[in-house]
Parts: sequence; C-alpha cells; structure tokens
Amino acid sequence: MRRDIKVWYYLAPASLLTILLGLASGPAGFGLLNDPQVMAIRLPRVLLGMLAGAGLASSGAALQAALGNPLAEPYLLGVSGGAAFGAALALLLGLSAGVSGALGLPLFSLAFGLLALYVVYSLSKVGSRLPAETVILSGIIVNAFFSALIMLLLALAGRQLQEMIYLLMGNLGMIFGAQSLYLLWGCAAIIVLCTGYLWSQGRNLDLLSLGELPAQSLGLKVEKLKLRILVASALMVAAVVSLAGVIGFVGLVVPHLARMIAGPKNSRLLPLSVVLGANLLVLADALARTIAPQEIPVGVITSLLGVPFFIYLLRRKKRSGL
Amino acid sequence: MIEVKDLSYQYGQLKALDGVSFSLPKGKVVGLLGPNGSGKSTLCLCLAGMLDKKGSSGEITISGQGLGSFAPEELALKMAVVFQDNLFSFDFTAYEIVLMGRSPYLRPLQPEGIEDHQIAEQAMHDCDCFELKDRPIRSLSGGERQRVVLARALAQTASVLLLDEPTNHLDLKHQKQILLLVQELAVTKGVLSVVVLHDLNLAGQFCDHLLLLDQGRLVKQGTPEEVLTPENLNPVYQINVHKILHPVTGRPQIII
Amino acid sequence: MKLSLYFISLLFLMGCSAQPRPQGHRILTVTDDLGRTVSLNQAPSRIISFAPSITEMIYALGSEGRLVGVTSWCNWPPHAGKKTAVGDMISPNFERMVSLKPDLALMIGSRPSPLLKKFEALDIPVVCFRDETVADIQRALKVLGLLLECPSRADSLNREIDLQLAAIKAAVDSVPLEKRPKVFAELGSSPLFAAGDSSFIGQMIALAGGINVTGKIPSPYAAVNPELVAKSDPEIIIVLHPQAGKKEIGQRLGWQNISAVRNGRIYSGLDRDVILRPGPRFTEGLKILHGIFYAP
Repeated sequence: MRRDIKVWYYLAPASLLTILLGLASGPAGFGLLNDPQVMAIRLPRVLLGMLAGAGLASSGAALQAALGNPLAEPYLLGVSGGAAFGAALALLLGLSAGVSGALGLPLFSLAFGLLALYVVYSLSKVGSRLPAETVILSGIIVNAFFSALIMLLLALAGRQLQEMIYLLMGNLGMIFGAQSLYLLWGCAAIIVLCTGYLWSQGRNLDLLSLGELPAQSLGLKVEKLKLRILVASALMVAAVVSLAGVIGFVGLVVPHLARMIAGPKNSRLLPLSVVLGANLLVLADALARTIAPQEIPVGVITSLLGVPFFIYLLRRKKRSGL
Repeated sequence: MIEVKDLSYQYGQLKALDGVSFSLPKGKVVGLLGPNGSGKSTLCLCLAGMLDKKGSSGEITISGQGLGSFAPEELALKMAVVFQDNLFSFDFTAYEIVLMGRSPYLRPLQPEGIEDHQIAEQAMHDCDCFELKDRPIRSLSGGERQRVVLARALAQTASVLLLDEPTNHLDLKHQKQILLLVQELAVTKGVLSVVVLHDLNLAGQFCDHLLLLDQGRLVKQGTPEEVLTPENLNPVYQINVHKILHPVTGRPQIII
Repeated sequence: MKLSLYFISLLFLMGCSAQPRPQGHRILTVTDDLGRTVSLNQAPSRIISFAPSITEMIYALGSEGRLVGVTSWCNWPPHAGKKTAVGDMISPNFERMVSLKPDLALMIGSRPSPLLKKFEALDIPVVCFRDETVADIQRALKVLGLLLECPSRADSLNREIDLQLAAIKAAVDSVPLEKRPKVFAELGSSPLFAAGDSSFIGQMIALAGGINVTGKIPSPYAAVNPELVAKSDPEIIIVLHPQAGKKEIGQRLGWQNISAVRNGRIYSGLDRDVILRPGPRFTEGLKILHGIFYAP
C-alpha cells in the first residue's frame, strides 16, 4: 500500500509534536517549563535523539539495499563494536580528564569505530570486489572481537562499571558543555552529509536490488557504490555510537516500517526512514525520561518495544506469504 | 558492429572459450547455440563486459571501440542485457522494475521524465506485461517476471541486446511474441540482438545468423540453412537429428 | 588528642603483636553480617582480604603480619601493595588465592558472592562483612578484633571513631536544617552518576552536615538526569571522579545558574579513598567534607 504525498502531510505535524513532547519530558516536570536552564539541557538532548534516530535509520536502509538483505542493520559492520570499545577504553583510562576531556571519549570512540571499519574492509575484500557475504561475516567477526575486549574492560572496570554499562546500552544522556557542543554539530554534519549522499544515490540503490550483474549492465559501478555506501553508513554509526552508545533495533526496524508504508524505492524510503527514525527515538527517550527519576538507557526502551514490533512485522510477512 | 577476435576465457583451470572469432553487423538477430557447457553463457557475459579481464584474452570491439574502454555507464547506453537468473531482494512493482531500464539516461537526482515513462509503458506493451505493472515483482510467476525483465531491457533503447535464454519460462505464445519483437527491432531500429537459445527450432525460425559452440570453440557460423544440418549438429549434440523444412516459412527445423 | 591516640596505640601495639600468639586449642566463633556462624580452631595467620576497606582495618589493628593476600585495589597503607595480589571479587585469581594456603577469607557485600561457595567447598572459612553504613564499619572492626586477637585495640579504634563522630555531630547539630548547604556529589559524568541517601557517600554527606540533592533516588547509586541537578540548585558540587574538573562543569549547558557554579564552589581532586571507602579512615573523609561544606 503506497500513499505518497499523504504520508508527508501526516509526518510534518507529527514530527513537530514529537519534538515538543521531547522538550516537554523530563524529571524536572512535564511541559515546556519556564526555566531556561532545564530547556538548555533538554534541547541538545532532543537534537541528539533526532540525529541518532535519523543516522541509524538511514544507515540501516542503505545497508539493506547495498547488501541486498532486508535483515542487514547498521551494527553488522563491526563499527559499533569498535566505537563502543573505544568509549569504554576512554572511560577506563580516565581519558576524559581536563578540558579536552569532554571531547576525549567521543573522539576515542570515533577513532576505534573507523578502525573497525578498516579491518572489516580489509577482511572482506576479494580481489577488487566486496561480496555481501564476506562483508557480513567480517562484520560479525570484528564485532565479536570487540565484544570480547569490552568484556575484558568490564572485568577491569571496578568503579566505572555502571557507567560502562550505560554506555553499552545506549543512552542520550550525554552532558553537553560549551566545548562538547561542537561534537553535536560535528555529528549533525556527518549525518546530514552522509544521508544526503545516500539519498542522492537512491536510484542506484534501487538498481542494486536487481542483483549485481543486472545493476552493472544498467551502468552502475557496483563495487565503488557498495564501498561508498559502507563508508557512509559506518561514519554515521561511529558518530552516533560515540555520542549515544549502542542503541539497538532502530537501524533494523525503522527501514522495515518505512518500507511497509512507502515501498522499497529508496528515493522515498530514505527520507521516510530518516524522519521515522528521528521521531521514534525522540519519543522513546521522552518515555525513558518520564517513567523514572533515574536515567533509563533509551536502548532498553527501543529493544523492549522493538521486539514485539518485530514479531508483529514477522507475522504480517508470514500472512502475506512472502 | 560487434567484432570478436580470438576470444578465450579461462575459469581457473577450465577453458570455457577457446579462440572464438566472429563479426556481427547491426540490424540482425543472431542465435547462440550449443549444448550445456559449450560456453554460450560465458560468451554472453564476455560480450556484456561482465567478466574479469584477468581470465580473458583476445579482443572484443563494439562499433570499432574496444569493449574494455567503455565505462559501465557508457556501455549501458549501447547494450542491454537480460540474464538467466533474476533475483529480486525487494518488492518493487513491475513498472518500477521496467523504469529502472531508463537509469543510464538519468543523472542521480533527476526524476524520470514523460518520455521515460512513455518508453517504459511501450516496452511493457510490447512484451505483453502492461497489465502486471502494479503487481509486486516477487508475486509474479517465472514467465511473467521474464517478460518484465525483457521490457526493462527494451526500455534501455540500446542498439545491442544480449538475451541469455529469454524464452526459458515462457509459454509458446510468448516465446513467439518475444522473438517476433526482436526481429522487428532489428528491421525497424537496426538493433543487433544476440540471443542464447536452447531451442534449435526457434533459432531456425527467427534468427538471421547462427553461432554454434561446442566445448568453447565456435564450430560453425552462418545462416540457419548452413548451420542447422545433421552433419553439424550430430557431433555437437551427440544425437542423430533430422532436418525438415517448416511448411510455411521454409526455414530449417530439427527433429530428433 | 592525637598524642593520646598515639600513646594508647603504642600500649596496645604491645598487646597486639605482629606475630601470632602461641596457643593451645582455642575455638573462635563469630557470626558474620550474612548471619553465618564461622568457627576457627585457632586464630588465623594467613588471611586474604577481598576489600580495600578490610585491608585498611587489618593494618589499623596492627595485624598485617597475618595478611597474605589482598586485592589489586588495596592501596592503603602504601606498602600494602607488597602483599600478594589475588585479583578481586569480580575477577578473582583463584589459583593464586589457593596457592597462598589461606586459613581465612574476608569478603564484603550484602549478599553471598559466588566466590563464597568456592571457598566453602575448599573448607576455607569465610567471614562476610557489610559495608554500607558507619555501624557496619564499627561492627567489622569489632569482629576483626575478635578474630585477630586484639579486641582491645579494636575497641579503642571504635572509641576514637565515636569521639570524632560526636565532635562532628555537635558541630553539625548546631546548624539548623535550613542553613545546611545543598550538595551534589558527582560520581561519574558519562552518564551523570549520583548517590542516594542510602549509599555510603549519602550517609557521609548527611553526617558532615550537607543535604544531598539527589538523596531521594530509589537506589543507592544511579544515573540521573542533569536537569534534576540544575533544578535542585546545589550550593556545593563535589566531584568524585577524574573525568571532569571545575572548568568543564562550569561550562555545562543549563548549569550556569546553579549556585555552586556561580560561586565557584566546585571541589575536585579530593582523596576519594577516604571519602568513598567505608574503612577505618572514613572520619578523615568526614572532616574533609565538613570542611568543604562549612568553609568560611
């Protein structure tokens, strides 16, 4: 069922509503409070939520197209494992001390995320090609490796154990100071640029769904495109994980939802995924902030809600016989 | 239009093509024949520029220009390919699939224009699949998908068509329809079609020129009358065949 | 005050020698904080301590000669590191522990740890201490005094603690509740980590005469939303982790109007071992906190 323009008519006001809900939620009281200090804390958080949701969703959608696999998701690439490890390592080493401290953790995280991408690329190259199976396999291996390293860090953690766990569960509670706000802009730039690039390649992503040989016969430089998609996705994932930890399910489920609404054509799918991802994550975080005075990692909410939703999607697919 | 000189291709140890040479003018329907493993599909992939340069030797030129010198987007303007296996990862509609045939003519963010839509629709009419246009591709039968993919190739409006066993899943009516269409394109638009065929009689009926392959070597080429004889076919297919003439067209037909 | 403390300690040093006292069959029985009854045939002479606080207590009681194994976190006194490190309760180096042939293991926690079962399987006696309140510290000292055969030393340490507590209490009680400073104790910054009233640091803050702004959170330690801190407007911020300093905290969005930030009353670089560790030196930590809270 494809309803093109009508969807956007609903989405625009819905997005506005979501942003307002995000700004209104928090333990200091529900509503757009008259307190500029509280608002100054909530605004970057809502922005981070939108960026993280958008980045994960568009990364997931693009990867599913590039790898020809609707089960692909951003964390396949091993980047999330590397980025999470980098952040945990920075935490353990107390690298975040000093003025550069606020920058230390996310930058370390980003560096290790990109390192993981490089390892996956090197492992999965076959001649000049990047076959989908080897990419997926390499990503799994790299993730497993970094998971083991993270467990080692957890064992050594001692006092920072709880902080590390929050990091790994994905939370938007990063405190922004004047310096670290630049990181948010950096993340925004990465996500806007990468998503923009992916959207411009929408038709080419469609061609990939025909198979690599047919796509090439239609003029596509298949291997080049795949590599660029992987890099763009990985950059976004690294940026998101470095600021928000590993938030699960968004990258997998949101493109599916968007595909159900708008169909597989990527020039429609990508923008819709971006908007849906941003909205859903902000809503999940608003919920996380309202139900308890403590910080509940938003990754917990997305996983708890993601699982029943995924089951629902699966049952629908089974019923329609595909 | 297509010149092949001494083409050989090796998959590791296996020599799939051995010193094949031929020359094809435009505006003809050329049939590629041979038993399984004779190298038909390999030759098709070579002509499409899809195989690794490493395993190949010899040269292929299109309109005088070496095949290797074409960038994929340039080649796509000249040549359209229909492969044997078509797997679709996502559920595009048949029309969306056909429209993808127009992508070599479009810049990245440029949407399809009226002309593109007209060409796509006409291609679907020509392949008798227009009524399938809004159906999801994965819900179509093998034959229906085949016609959609053919329409996509037609929408590419290329001057060369490479068709790898296009009639495999089609019923008789559609087999005739497609080959008639290919003939018409040759006559009216000068399109050179290279069609890999299993069915010798279709080849005899609809092709202007035939290439007979056996174990990677081109054993005979020429008109259907010249190629479709028991002397040529018996050793290649390892069976005794008989030739008769079609009662209406007079073209050679093979019975076993 | 300090001089008399030294004099008393000297007297009891003679009574609580570094070498185990030769004896006949004496049965020591204690009930630990998990309700377990532990009996020893003789006073232990090869002890493994699983917590820095316990290690400090053993040294404070002058019984370090009986100590053979410590965790890698045991850093006080500085030469405690010379004892064999056996990992800790979360990642124990079991082989090394067993190779030390201990006759007593001392653990902390409000629930039995998996390590406990392992030691019981080897017939090594284990005594478990809770470490959540001041009362826990004093009781631990008393029990250790029994086990290490220097009960009078333990009693004198406890009396000293009582005296110091009383002194601080007197100072604090003289300040009415409304005048006590609101304090935010930051235990971590990514995410923002704080302590509730039921945690040890929460009790330290209360004893030192501060009002913990994150006191009402449902668990002893939790990640908190920074807007809670902004709204509660603490007058003092104590930073108990190395990840942020005064400057970064002052630059946090939405925190500019917090009294502590405006008045520059952000304290970092404190000795976390005496403030956060429920060990015999906690009164030093109390004094530090009290000094910060009621600085002129």
